[in-house]
Amino acid sequence: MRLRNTFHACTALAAVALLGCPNAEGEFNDFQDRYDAVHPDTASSSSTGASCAAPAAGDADGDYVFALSASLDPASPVRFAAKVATSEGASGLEVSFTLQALDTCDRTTPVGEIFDLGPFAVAADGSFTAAFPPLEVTGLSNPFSENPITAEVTLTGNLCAASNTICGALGGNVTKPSVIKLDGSNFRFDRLEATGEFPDVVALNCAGDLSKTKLPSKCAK
Amino acid sequence: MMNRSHHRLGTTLLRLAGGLVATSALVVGRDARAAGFATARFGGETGHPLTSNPTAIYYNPAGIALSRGLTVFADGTLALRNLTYDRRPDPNAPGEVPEPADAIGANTGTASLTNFVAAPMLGATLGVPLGESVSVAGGLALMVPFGGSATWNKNDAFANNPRYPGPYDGQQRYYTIHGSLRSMYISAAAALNVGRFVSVGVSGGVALNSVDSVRARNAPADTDLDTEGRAWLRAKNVTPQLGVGVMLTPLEDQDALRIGVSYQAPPNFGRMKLRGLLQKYFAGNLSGERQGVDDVELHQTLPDIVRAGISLRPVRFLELRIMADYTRWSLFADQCINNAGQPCEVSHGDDGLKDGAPKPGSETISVNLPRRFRDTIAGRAGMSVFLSPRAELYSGVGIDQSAIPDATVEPSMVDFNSVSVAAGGRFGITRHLTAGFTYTHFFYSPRDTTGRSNMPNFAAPSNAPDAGGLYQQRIGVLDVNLQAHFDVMGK
Repeated sequence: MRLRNTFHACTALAAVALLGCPNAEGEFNDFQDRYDAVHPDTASSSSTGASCAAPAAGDADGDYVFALSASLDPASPVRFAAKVATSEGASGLEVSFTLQALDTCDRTTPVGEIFDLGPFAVAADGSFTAAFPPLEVTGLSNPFSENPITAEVTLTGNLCAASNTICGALGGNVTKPSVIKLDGSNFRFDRLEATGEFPDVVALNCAGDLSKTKLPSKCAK
Repeated sequence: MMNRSHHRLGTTLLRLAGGLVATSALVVGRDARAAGFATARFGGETGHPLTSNPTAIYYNPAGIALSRGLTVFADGTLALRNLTYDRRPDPNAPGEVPEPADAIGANTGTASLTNFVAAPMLGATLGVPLGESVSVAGGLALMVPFGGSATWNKNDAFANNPRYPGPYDGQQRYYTIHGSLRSMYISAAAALNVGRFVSVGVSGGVALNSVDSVRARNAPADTDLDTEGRAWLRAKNVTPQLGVGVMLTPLEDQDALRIGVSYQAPPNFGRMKLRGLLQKYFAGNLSGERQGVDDVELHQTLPDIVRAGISLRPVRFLELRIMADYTRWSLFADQCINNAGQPCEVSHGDDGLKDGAPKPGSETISVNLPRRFRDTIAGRAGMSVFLSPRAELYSGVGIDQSAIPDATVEPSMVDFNSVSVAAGGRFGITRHLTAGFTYTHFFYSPRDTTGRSNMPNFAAPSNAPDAGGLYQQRIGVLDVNLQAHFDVMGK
């Protein structure tokens, strides 16, 4: 009898433990369903741009501002000071990038590590794919929080002759502080009119959509 | 010695109680009693630091030393809660994005909930005299002293909206859509009465702590409808918990005058870490390596509580009680979420860092929820009239302070200064079985925090949209219980 009573008590306790909150998961899933209904094809929000003729080596070289526009808030990009360098490689045109993040609150001060990336092959039609190694950028350049960001990104875009812009689709993941997929994200390089003079508003993608003018809320104090 | 009929009745009661627990949704109405999300209302007017029934295992374990024989207690606290929140944000607050013309009312206006909530308590004690002047007692109990849960109504104006999927979940959604937080105690207790004058008791066991909450969240913690996402946290742990108490019964009749004091330590005796999963859905992407799942820990500290009371029976048919408790809610300063194994410490602005900013070493914090609760004092006075040995009527009035300052009150953590009145009775059904009930009504004055919310001003990752607005709440609580008593030791 004692064992049976113990069993009933344990059954009751187990039921208590299981009956906590049956609706949180349902609410979470319901939102996903509603979001997907409103945005039936998230991946199409990124574009690699139109194909074109690749520039001659050296023509695209210079100082740029690089906007990494993550899909979770496209108008609040991570900004970088960028140098673009092109050269003729063994199998054709190659492009290399030198990146350093900008302080998200003044949008002009380079902060953190300098990344030398490339070279990456550029096809005759200007298309290229650049798979970057993990980039660790300081929290000062994070538009959302003070957390440092580590991201593994791949740029798929076009480098065109007689253009001051390089743009395309951004894929990969943010891996720190938490793992966030970047499907549907974009990137864009815009040549600077003068070295070190970064604009307040930057273009985010090949369509030319612009970033927010207002500073991120984390810069409020 | 318990005879067979007593044993069958006890078994039946245990099963009945088990069924009660198993069929109760264990969601506890925050503010059902006391400040913050303390919800220890079990026992109604008969649950307090002067009692000797099994609720004493929580309120004051010394009290069970005054019990005799076997007592089994099954209690259910049933509450009907209505809460409204009229969101009135400062349009210039950081992160406050103006509502688009086609979405007026998405982030402003009144959200509401009406929830029926229930919480069980089960307990049993065995009191044994060891002579003329010494007695001992032991007990076991299960109860939910901390808890809160809420499911908010939908904003039907945005049902099937072709552009904005988020506002359907209500204007309060940046803080909560559905959420629960609770600590369930499983306690054993032992008590000793010496000289019929002083009793001491201790209770301890485990606390099963859990959080399960889903809310709207944007990466920059703003209210932009175009980038609105969701974050869902569920986490739990098991921690030790402990309570101690003293009861003085200075008069020959131990019911004539009782003076009780007890201390309930915080679960885990301080900071605890609940391990779990944080799942996010931003811009059509589930975040995380395992389809949006992060392995995280929620760091928090629940309060400790000191209770004291005096009961007096000037005549046999009348008992007067006065009680107070001091709850150290200031321990509940933050709910901090970080990757498992990582520290989770935020500045309170007194160390050169921005208020809410991560301290060195904690830069990977996912999100911090600033609570900044303050200590509270609650008081209660009650009286019982004994119509006969098997019929008691009682009533009480109480006051409670709000634990939550205007700066951090928000829809998932609402609290009010309150006045409550209670009435009920306890009646013998059979020689061994007693039924009791208490209805308590809480009166809250509306709370307007418009322009006083500090949530958007905290540094990331502690910032959140402005939670200012008008909060109004109504709660009625019915406590019902059955108590079976068996004089297993004989006279």
